[in-house]
Amino acid sequence: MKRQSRRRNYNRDLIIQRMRILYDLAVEDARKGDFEHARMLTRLIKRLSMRNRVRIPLDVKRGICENCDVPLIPGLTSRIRLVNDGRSSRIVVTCLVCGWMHRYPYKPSRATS
Amino acid sequence: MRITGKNIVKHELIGLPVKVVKHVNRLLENIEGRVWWETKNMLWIKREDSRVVKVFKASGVFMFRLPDNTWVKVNGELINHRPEDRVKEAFRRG
Repeated sequence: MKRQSRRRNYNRDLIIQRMRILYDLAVEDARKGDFEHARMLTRLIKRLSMRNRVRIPLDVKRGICENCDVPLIPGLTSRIRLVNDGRSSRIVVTCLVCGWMHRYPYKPSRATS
Repeated sequence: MRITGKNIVKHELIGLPVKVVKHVNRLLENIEGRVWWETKNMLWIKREDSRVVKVFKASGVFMFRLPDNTWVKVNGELINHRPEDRVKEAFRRG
């Protein structure tokens, strides 16, 4: 592996680790009720991703409301429902803070038992 | 990878326990707490009494406690950049 890409991978892994640390701190803050600080941390995650061109891990990305930036915690800040419309199934996550709905495709074969 | 003494300059400082060892402003010395927020030039430290103190990075020396319970002394000038920029290679030297 060339030296440049090894360094880029090191940085990318470091950034992804930082995103997960920040997301855990944001969830802790949201559980304590400090939504404002939680938003600051999730916005920092987005800035880390944008400025360094590193994709946010999917589980972190889907855990943040794309409208109001609050961490989505089932029962506290979000409501999760499965919707079936005949042909396809979807997971619908509703943010309880701002009302924004996130819809994701859901295939039963992907579900872990 | 874990936070070590070598990669702390690039790693996440928010959430780490911190002590201000030396500072140009003597009143800010010996402040202990957790890093609550970070900006380009300042560290916001939340003390045990829930007060948040803003400390200039460039003019101080800080000790951070790593997850493996070791303390690392860091010169403020090395971390005097925006948190999202600190990870870039250009800031590694000097």
